[in-house]
Amino acid sequence: MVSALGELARTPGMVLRIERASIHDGPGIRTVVFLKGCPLACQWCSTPESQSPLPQTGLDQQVYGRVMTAHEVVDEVLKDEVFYFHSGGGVTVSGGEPLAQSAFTAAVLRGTKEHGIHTAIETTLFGSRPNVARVLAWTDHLLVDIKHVEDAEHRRWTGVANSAILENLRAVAASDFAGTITARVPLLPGVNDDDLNLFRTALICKEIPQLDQLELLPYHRLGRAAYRNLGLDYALDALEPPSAAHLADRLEYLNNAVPEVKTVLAR
Amino acid sequence: MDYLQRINRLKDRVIGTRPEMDLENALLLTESFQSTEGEPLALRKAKGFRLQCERKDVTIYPDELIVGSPGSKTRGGILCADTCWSVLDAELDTIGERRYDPFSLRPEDKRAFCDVIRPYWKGKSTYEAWLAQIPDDTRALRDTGMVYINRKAVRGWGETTAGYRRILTEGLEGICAKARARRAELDLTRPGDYEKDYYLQSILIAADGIRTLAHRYAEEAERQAAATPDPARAAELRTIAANCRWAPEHPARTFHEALQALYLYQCAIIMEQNAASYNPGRMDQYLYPFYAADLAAGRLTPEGAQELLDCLWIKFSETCLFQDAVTAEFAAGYPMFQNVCVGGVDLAGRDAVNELSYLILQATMDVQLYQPSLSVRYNMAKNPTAFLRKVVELIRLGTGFPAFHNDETGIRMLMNKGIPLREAYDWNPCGCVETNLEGRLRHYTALADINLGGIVELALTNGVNRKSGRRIAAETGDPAEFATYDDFLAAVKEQLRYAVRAVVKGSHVIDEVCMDRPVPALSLSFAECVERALDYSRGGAKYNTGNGVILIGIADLVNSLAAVKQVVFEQGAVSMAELLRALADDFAGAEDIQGQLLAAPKYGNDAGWVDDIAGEIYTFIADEIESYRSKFGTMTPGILPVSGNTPFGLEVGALPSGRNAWKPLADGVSPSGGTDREGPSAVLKSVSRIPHDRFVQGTLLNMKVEPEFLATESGIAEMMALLKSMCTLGVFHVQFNVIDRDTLLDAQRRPELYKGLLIRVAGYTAYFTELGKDVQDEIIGRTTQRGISVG
Repeated sequence: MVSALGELARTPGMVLRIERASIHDGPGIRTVVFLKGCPLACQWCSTPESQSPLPQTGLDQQVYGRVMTAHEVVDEVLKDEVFYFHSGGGVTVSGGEPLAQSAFTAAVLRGTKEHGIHTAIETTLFGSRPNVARVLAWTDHLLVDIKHVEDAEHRRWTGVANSAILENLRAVAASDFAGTITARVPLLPGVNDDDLNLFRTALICKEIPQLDQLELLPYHRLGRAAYRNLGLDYALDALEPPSAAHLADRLEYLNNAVPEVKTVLAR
Repeated sequence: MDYLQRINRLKDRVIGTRPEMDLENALLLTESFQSTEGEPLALRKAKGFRLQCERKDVTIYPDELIVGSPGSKTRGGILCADTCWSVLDAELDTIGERRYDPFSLRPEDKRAFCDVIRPYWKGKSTYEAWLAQIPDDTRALRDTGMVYINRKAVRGWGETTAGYRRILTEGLEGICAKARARRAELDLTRPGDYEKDYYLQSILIAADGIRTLAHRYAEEAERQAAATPDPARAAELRTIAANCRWAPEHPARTFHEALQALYLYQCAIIMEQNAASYNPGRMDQYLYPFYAADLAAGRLTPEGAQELLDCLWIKFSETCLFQDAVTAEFAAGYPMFQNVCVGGVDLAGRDAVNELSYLILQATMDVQLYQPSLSVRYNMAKNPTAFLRKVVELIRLGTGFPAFHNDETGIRMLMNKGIPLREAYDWNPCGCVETNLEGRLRHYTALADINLGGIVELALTNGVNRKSGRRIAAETGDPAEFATYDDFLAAVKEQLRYAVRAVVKGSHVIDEVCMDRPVPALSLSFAECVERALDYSRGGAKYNTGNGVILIGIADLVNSLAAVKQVVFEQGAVSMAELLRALADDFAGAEDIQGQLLAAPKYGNDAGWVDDIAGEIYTFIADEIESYRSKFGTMTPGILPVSGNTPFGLEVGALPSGRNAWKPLADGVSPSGGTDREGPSAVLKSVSRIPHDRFVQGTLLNMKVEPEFLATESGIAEMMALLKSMCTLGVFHVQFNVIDRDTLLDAQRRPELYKGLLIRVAGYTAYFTELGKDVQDEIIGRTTQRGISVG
């Protein structure tokens, strides 16, 4: 499509990496574009190398982050179009925070959509209302985290208030956004897995007409090596990942407490 | 399921038996040949076969519902004296201990071999004829491990799909009636009719042998029925007796009779020549009428049919392939390669999946043994999604089955072999991943292998073998003088041309030698062999093509070309002289050069220009192979390493790809282990750049998948999507291992706990613990990424 080509070529972004054939970031087989730069600093973040907006060099001498034009990213995404066709997959722009590079994210999504390919973003929804609107205009599927409903707790664990996030979420729910929304809770024992937090999270979800499901993402520590590589401390060293029994228990609780919301364990 | 108790008992007996040499067949053949001196060879072979049928062991084991064996042992390696007696002669003291596929040999058998078999057959076998006639240039490449070409001289024909349909629908009586009618038309004063006359006679004698064998099993079943105190078993034995009494002499009337007749015929052709790859083919098609009729008549339930299929599956796992130690390295795991196929399209191009297709998939899920090799022809346009799902459920079990074939590509391969479309619709996978046509096609599908790592090396040594220091191939110029990438590419192509020529010459010799290797028991199910009164070995089948020339080290060749192109000629980072020195020293003291070579883009990552090299060079190779003809037709290319990438690698020094000396080459069309970084979709994209349809003897891709991936509904859906994507891309074949690395490491440490662990080696499945340590290491070394990965 001629229309977007010039814009795509002119729009640069800071990309962490592009992962192909992912089955964990939206429906079907997907290409995930991880961006650099995130306004949050979640203590459990499994990709700390995505937090800074600038390129970084790890102890492994690898450089994390490079500038790509949206056009280059779309070319990379198109390589797997056969796989999207058969699986219902597509592109997922992930973080870092896609809204932090909203012009670039919008250009990648638009350039992909013009080929008839399904688009998704994985976002905190921490961003300005116009930036959210700019990105969602080209988004079929929104994956959003609700990390904690209690503002003080949210600040403590992620470094930012949750008011903008929840307001954005309510605004999208009330808007004419015609795509689907999957809400996710990164489930951290002792942090946000109590009945009350989960219950209130599910109540928020209940009010989202575009919601397909609420997913529980079990906390894991596979990112620890990445912290070491960047010379950073891992704050949650003492936190054990939830057991299978605990996950099942939390799932059962939510299914009973708010049966209107379809809640599942993320794969 | 009740029937599974029987199946598990039968299975335990097979798993618990160590493979053993079986000389009964050779001793009977020797006895017969001693009494038929002077007669035409085909007649002598037929009479020898009939004597085997009259005298061989006919044990029926407890619980069996399908009976028969080509030999006298549960897991026997049958020695076919007329083809390859001398293989055992050379390994008489080592075969019990050899690294790949050992067979125990009893002292009395060893004595019989020395006293009876060796004295009679010395100088008479096809293997000896081949060794005496191998062309010098071919021998030089063979002896240095640049080609492997002994395979067809150390075992029998195989690599064929007999006319099972004819055996079941016409019976031996129908076939014999045609042979007799043809004989009656002959006029012995007419030149050529005498040889037709005795040949038809040999067909009749072989048929008589099979009939006799079936009747002997019937008698044994009757004897056991009378002796057993168990009335239920007595009834089973009486059914077995009735089945063998009727079929395959007459056309089968029931599903049970059909399975029994099919298996007795399978035994017969293995007795005639023990070889790999006698492929039952499209069982869901030719058995369906029997199944449907039994169901309609109320004689059979689907569960009863399942039990019978499962019993047959265990029989397929009994016989072991006997071959020499070197050939065993190239195809380790006693693989008989009896390839059964389900799915695809019918003769009108319609969906051919039926209830039996599902029962056959289920049989492999129930039995989980290494035979039969189960293949799927998946026709994306015509076969239902439910069928694909059942296939994924089987993949999920982690047995390495089924071999998944893209039907449209298979059909095109057959057409490229010269088969018209109306018959190409009926193709079936053969052996490993080759292509075949039931009862109509003759060729060796995998006559010889070419070592592509060796080809690169020879282009960089001006034709001198690095390991031996001998000049063994074309002089393609001093590599230090190569001024451009095109100079290097031209040298590689010239070495390829030279190796292909040497293999073609060798193939013609094998063709000549094997024309004196008549197989009347096999030929009788080929309609045209009877009609023309011409043996399979002499081109009697309806279609004949030139033999298969197989390539090993696909990724090594591409990666070497790409690295030289980029590092030497584009970046100028390493000079040709530095490269040559580094390769000669296996990168000792030149680790920086190795690092630069390893960092060059590799095949398997969807890197356009690297994959373009693959597309170009493999088109060149296919053109080159197809530019030759044999007496039987155009030579046929294929890419199926079996396990040959490991022994071939031992003969090749360091390569410009960055690979160290004497390490295994890459397997099939897969990327070199650990060099694919972009995941399964990128691998499939790269692999799709090889022109699969041109490699008419098949192409082989192994991938591995972690068990968690297939544990969820969405994982199953995505595996189905991946398979459909592969078909859209025109990739011919893929096979999955569902095994995690830790399991394999543990199996290596404690093999006694993993006796039944099946692993996809390369186009076939074997017991992991029965493989050599380096093959095990190679399998473990394949990268396993998140989700699906290449292996």
